[in-house]
Amino acid sequence: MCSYVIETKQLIKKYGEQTAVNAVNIHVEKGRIYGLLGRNGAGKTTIMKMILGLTPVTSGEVDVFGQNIKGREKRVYPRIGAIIETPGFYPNLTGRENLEIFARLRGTAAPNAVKNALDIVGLPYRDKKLFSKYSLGMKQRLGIANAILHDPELLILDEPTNGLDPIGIAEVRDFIKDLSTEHGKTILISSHILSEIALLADDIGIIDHGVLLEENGMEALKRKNSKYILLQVSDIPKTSLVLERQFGVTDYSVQDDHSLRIYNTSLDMAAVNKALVVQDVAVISSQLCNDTLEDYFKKITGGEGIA
Amino acid sequence: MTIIFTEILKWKRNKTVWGISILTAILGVFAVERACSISRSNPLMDSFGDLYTLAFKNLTSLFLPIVLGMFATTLFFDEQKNDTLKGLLIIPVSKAQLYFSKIAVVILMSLGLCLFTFVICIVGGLIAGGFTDLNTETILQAGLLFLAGGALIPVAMLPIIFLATLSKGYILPIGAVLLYLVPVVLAPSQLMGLHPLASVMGIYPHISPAAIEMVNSWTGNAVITASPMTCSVSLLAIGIISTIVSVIVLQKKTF
Amino acid sequence: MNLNPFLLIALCTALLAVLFFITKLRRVRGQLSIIEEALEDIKSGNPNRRVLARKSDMTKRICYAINEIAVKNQSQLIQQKQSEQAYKRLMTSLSHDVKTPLASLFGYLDAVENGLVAGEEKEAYIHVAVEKACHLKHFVEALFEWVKLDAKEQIFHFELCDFNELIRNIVAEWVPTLERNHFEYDFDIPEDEYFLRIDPHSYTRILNNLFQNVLMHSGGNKLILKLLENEQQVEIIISDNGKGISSSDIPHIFERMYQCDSSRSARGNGLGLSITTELVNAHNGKIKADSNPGMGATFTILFPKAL
Repeated sequence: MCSYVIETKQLIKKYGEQTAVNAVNIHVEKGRIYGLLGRNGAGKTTIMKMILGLTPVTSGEVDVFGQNIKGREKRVYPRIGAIIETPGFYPNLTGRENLEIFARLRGTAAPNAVKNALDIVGLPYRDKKLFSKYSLGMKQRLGIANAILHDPELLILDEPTNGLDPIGIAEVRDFIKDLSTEHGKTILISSHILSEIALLADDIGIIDHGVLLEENGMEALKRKNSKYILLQVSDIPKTSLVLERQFGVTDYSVQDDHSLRIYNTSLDMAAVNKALVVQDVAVISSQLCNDTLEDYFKKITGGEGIA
Repeated sequence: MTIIFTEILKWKRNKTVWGISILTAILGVFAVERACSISRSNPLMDSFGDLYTLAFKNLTSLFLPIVLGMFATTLFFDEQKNDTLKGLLIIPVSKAQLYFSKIAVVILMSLGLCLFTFVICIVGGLIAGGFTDLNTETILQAGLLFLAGGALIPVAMLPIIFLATLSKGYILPIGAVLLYLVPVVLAPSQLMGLHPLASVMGIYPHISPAAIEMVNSWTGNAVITASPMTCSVSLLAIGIISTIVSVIVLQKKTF
Repeated sequence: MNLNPFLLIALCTALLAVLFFITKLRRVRGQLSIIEEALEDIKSGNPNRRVLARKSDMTKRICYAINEIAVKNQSQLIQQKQSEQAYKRLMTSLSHDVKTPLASLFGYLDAVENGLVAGEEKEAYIHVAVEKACHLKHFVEALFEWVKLDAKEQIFHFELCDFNELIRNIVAEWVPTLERNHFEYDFDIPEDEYFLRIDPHSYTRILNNLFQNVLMHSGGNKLILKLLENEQQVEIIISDNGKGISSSDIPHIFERMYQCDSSRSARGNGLGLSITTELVNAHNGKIKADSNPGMGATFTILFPKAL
């Protein structure tokens, strides 16, 4: 079974002469949070719009739930919840009335969907406040409520924490995380803030000037994020003895039968190697790994970094 | 069905709707006031037909087309202004469904205003008193006339609604409404069968005897050359063409 | 043109009615095919699938019932997956955190056995080896305790006891250790009796863990314990004047295996706070941490009086 919920193949979008999205191949796996990271104007929103069929594709293909979305909108859209840019609602209605309009049109998965959705995002159900009087944060929350109103399998969230205060951001983040871990939803989320994506995403796609620079699992990236010396030797117990007795190193960890990590990166490795050789320990390799996520992103975006 | 219902829900607490209803009431009351002040011996107000055609004329000659044109424009434009269109499209509501639901709301609005005026006429006729011919038959005739006006005028306005779907603002379609009305006011009889609003006027005389009188005074007793058949056909044809073009334009439009 | 207008209206109404029923019928048919597709999907293992229904749909109840089953199914699956993951994490932590001390322990013993060291150095080696074995034992014990808690297999013996008295006893045992480590201390425990239903053994573990934490990780030299008791709940506040916890660490400190120094120091095992949290949860309590980096940290535990 194909486990990609969203897959784009050589997706291209041109506005006139200008190429907004260039040959992007995104793979969103089932049950995971995919973070689309890029600066404002990098093409994140355009990609999301193309996935949703809101804007025509210049060339390439978008598969959602393993099938091309074109012509199957009625079957596919009810399985997706989305916020694109700022959420739009009717200003002369209250939040609840707004959601009821969308619930009526789309149908719901449970009888009291509107109340549940409002509860989840922390907006009051019985409230006379009109949407036009809402703060930006409340608008954003209502947008999220609308996206989860029908309990969709796939959520496409374009900068969902835009306009929220720090507490609100943390709340929304926890809640998105919860949707993924406790409810098994697949989530495609975009942001221009590295730390945000780093905290949330399982997989990450970095986009710059319409080009997908890198697509990677967050686990792999986080591993790159720590500083340590990876030492591969023939005899682990002897090595650990040398490290402890001769160099006073205690912060290391054994990875497997032949490799260990030393977290003290200022260690004089030449001396360590020499001492190990004296003890009849063969050193297969020793390498210094120190990359922070920021450094890493700077490297792949060509030195400009991300927001 | 649900879409039309939600369209109506969207207008809750909307000031424009209230404004339109109040203006309609004022126009209706104005006709009733004429009925009260003009004596029954005057040929201008010697029958119930005179009263309801006066009210009908007040409502449909200028007010209703302008109001419907503006209403339709806001209907289409607000969806864009509030940024709710994308929300609807991913439900999914197709653009054609959206278009037809909006047209349905315009027709319902028009029918509603006409029936409202119709009720005012009956009540007004009873209050003013002295109408010898105020009986079931004339009331039914009046009802039919209002029903026809309410249903046909929106159809005649479809070309304007097309402009509303095309444009990105209020000004073009509202300006177009006014331009659209000018030829009908100047030369209604000659345009029957060509201009949709004039065609609607060509259909009225076949509904009730009082309407013949009304259209005659309207056109300055000009000889009506176009048959009701040509009028209906031309009206329908222009309406259908506008509808098709509107839907195509909406499909093409991205944002 | 002699058609009766009333007949015309009647005809129109009839036509509309027929049209209405046809659309209704088509809607039901479409809905049925959607239900069929969704059921097929759920059957093939996608419990995330929902069938949406409008308020006016005839199939509404069936749809809601299907969704309810799917939701139940899904939460079961997710629970299963989570416990699988917990098991996997346990295996990795076993392999990493046991391997390291084990390797070095082996290194020391090996050196002694092969006669590489003699005299006083040999004694020192044996001493270190014993210490390492001891640490390993504690770690494995802690790990098993955590596993039991995590699997909800720990049995608690709740009894009504004098809370203040219990705390006094625990604290008294800590005084010598604190003095040996040159810690100032300030215990503010009310004199009167305060009865609470708790498991004294786990409660002792909670406090021991927190004290241990302050002693080993805070880097300060002062420990303050305060009790705030009222009719509804008791609040236990333990604070120190050490280096504190950075705000980016605070959300994670109660997670298992999380250690603030990314260069994991050899001391501690990253299980203490996680076990503490589990124990506090078992008492229906709450635990939270606050800190001003550089000014020390404060841990607050809340126990409701009515358990």
